[in-house]
Amino acid sequence: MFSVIIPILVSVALFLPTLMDGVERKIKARIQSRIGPPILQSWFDIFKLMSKEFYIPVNSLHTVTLLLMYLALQPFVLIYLITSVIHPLTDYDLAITISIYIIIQALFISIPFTIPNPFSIIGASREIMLVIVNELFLIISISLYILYSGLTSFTQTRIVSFTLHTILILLVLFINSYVSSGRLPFDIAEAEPELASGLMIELSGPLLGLLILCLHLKRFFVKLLPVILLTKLFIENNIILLMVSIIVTIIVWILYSVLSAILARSRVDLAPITLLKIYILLVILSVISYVLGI
Amino acid sequence: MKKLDFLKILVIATETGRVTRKYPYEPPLVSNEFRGKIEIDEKKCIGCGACVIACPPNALELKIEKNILILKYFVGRCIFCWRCVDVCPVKAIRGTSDFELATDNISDLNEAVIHDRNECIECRGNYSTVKQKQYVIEKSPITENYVSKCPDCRRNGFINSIQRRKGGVYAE
Amino acid sequence: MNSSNKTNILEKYREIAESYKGSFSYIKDTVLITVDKNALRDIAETIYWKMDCYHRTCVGVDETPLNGYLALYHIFGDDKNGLNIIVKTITELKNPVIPSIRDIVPAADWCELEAHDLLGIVFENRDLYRLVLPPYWPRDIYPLRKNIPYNYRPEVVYSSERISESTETAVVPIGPYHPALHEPEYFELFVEGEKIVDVKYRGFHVHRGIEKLGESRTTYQQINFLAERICGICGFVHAVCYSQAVEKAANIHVPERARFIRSIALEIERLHSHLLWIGVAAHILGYDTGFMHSWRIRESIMLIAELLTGSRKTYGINLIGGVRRDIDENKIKKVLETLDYVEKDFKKLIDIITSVPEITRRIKDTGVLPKEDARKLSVVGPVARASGLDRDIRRDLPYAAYEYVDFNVPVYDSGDNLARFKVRVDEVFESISIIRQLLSNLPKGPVLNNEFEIPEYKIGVSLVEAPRGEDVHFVITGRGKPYRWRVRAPTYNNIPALKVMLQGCTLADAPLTIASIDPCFSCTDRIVIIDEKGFRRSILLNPFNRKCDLK
Repeated sequence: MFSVIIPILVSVALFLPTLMDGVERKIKARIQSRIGPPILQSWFDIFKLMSKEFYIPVNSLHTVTLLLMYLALQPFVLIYLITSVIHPLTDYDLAITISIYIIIQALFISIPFTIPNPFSIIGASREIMLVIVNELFLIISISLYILYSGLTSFTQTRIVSFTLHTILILLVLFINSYVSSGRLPFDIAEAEPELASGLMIELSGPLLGLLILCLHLKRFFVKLLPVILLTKLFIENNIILLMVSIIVTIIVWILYSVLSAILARSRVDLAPITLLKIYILLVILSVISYVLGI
Repeated sequence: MKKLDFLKILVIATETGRVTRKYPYEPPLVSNEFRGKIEIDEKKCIGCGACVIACPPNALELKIEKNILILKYFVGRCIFCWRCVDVCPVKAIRGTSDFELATDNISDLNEAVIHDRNECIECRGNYSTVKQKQYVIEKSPITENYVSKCPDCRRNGFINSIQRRKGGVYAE
Repeated sequence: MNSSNKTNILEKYREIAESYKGSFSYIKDTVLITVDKNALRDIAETIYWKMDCYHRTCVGVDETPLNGYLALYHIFGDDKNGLNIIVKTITELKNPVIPSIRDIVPAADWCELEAHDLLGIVFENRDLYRLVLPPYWPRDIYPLRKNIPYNYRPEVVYSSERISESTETAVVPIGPYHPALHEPEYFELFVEGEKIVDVKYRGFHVHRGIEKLGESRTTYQQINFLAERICGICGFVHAVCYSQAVEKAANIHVPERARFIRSIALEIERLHSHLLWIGVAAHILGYDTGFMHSWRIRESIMLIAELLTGSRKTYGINLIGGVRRDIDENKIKKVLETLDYVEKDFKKLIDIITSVPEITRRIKDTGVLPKEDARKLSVVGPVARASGLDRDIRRDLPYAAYEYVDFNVPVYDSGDNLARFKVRVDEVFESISIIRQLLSNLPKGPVLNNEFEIPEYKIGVSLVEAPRGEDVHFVITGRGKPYRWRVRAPTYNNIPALKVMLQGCTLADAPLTIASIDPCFSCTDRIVIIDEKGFRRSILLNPFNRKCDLK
């Protein structure tokens, strides 16, 4: 049975994110009182980009090497997550998933730093400022979660209890996932007008198409992880857990897209400070409530 | 709270619905005041050239070839200002609200009205147009002899008559 | 302004003119002082600083067919007393040298360079560089001189230039084609980290030689349509300003109803322009929802513009002597209904936009223009009113039907982007109230005056408050077409203020600051292509060649 379910779920997980991006554009268009593009438009965009000429940016062969490593690792970590919920691959799947994810983020930052274009480098330096704050608290919150619940792998049957400190840590994880997904108000690196698409300015054709696909997969991954940890509070059976998690992820994606349509873009010096304040507050509250036993 | 006012945009979006028009699957949104391209009525046009003088971008041109006069209208240069509609003395130009004029054949954009020119009874040269001569005859009391001569012959005739009256010779 | 006040002020200017041994004359609200060029600097200092006037523009005129001289007219404006002061000097054709007043009047910097480029007048005590023409244009061909035909093509050898390089700071080029800008401009920002330390600007990318065209191959009435196409957003302003200049010069009477209709169309243009700007500002800050909703409201204004004038933009209803279309009762009713709806909707939208947290944090205290710099550079429009200068041509030198309406002029002191935003929002509500007043007091009568004669060689200066600031047209009439026609668009005076605003600003605020002066170019430039090796190749746009094929 596993040999049927896992491939189905993996294919859904690879097809769904770009479809959800199309749904997000439709929702954003509805909030802006217009008819948006059809739902499959994001897939059409990626196909069109793949059909263009393959072009390596000037003096950037090393960039392409790093990019290809990133393009290989991102789907891998998503498939690893899905598989390890149903069938445990090691005893420390949760930690391994997070570690690989952090390696992927480091690769993602280094790619635009190696392109000799001032816009690209400015975009990368802005992204780094956000990523440092964000990933630091990802590590802190996952460590606290493992501390609270004792879980290191998704299939372990330790019941996670519905307590205040767990809820607060999950809240930190959800905020973290919103910031990682590169949406307004935190798409400072790629969408600021004076940078003319900052990070991705020198990429075109199939490279850009695959990068966009992996960005969608990243968005799905960062939402799926906290949702799995959340549904683990309620559901025991792993297969049902995964299917419910995918459905809840779709709902979370829709909520995030509504939120991104009604906010404006933040600035590179304002965003990290705001995030720092929110995260520190929530983490301290969570630790306090754990110590108090609530 | 005033801080959460920005959520009201969702209320506004729900009230206004979708405002996109599905043009070109729907007719375009023009009122009946809209200025589109012009139409020249060949039956009324007298070939006077007032529209050519008034046209700012020179979309209307007069071309004279021996015994015919062509009024050319090139839509590509027209700015749809309708000055020609204003100044035409016989109201031969009519404005429409047509603006979907893109085509891949440039000869679609050229229109022409052709007039016959009159023949002068003295020098046998061509001048003005037949219809303009009729228009002038209808509008003002003028002798047949005067109006059937071309402007150059008329001018020479007038100078000669002054010469004869003053009893001298006009040296050019 | 009562007549005794006016005679006092005119006496003061007569004394100033006589103290510098110049001649003095005035007609209606324009004072003409002719001085010798050696007295130019002193009289400029007196007028600009002692009499507290603003500098509008300076115009170079080739008067060689008339009296053998090249003339330079500096136009100052005394807004408090509602006068235009023109100071004229002449110089001979063989060696045209005039002292520069740029250090006394910093606002005259660009117009002197333009007179140098296009007419060949050499200014002393300043560095002269090519502003309008490309660097490889031949040295002694001056396009605005009367002996150069409008369709003359010189032989040129194209040359290339480098983008600036710097080892201490990074150079971020913005433009000429850039998603942050809406028209071609070229800014080089020198940044350290995120902070901008220096700005270099190269403009004039879309020079079309309109002034030369107006003097050569168009008639008086045709120029109305040409002037409307100077700008896409504020075209009607240029058409009205031009026809008002000719009407002033030739003393043509315009019927009352026509003046009211002109004012109504001008205010509708102001509404649509400000709504467009608010959408663009929201878009630059990432708030696309605000952009879409603002333009949705603007759509109803475009519809009433089409209803009243026959076209959504480039209205084409203005002629010398009046307007071409009339308004009837049904249209008035429809316009008033639409304005009610627009006012309510717009108020709700502005409350929402100003409550989005990121917008308030990014728009406050960025791009500051202090009041002294604003006064030195003679900035105009909402930029001036946001820095504490109380200038509005509709109130100070009333034209069209503005003397019959009451309105407030919003002035804020902080000089940052938020102040410019608030000035424009307030102006929208004022415009709606002005249109309502005009529509309820519309007098009856004809709308066009066809019987007039235009004498030759008379000077007319007219000003109109465009959505971006004051627009100046200077006309010297000729036979059948103007002898000289000078247009000074409002953005011309505002761009030098950008250098002050952008220093000390972060790179992230640069697009918003550039957009907050609402740039709208009617200037000239060449298309600049930056290729891979960092060289710039310039391609001449053949501005004087465009319409020579029409026979």
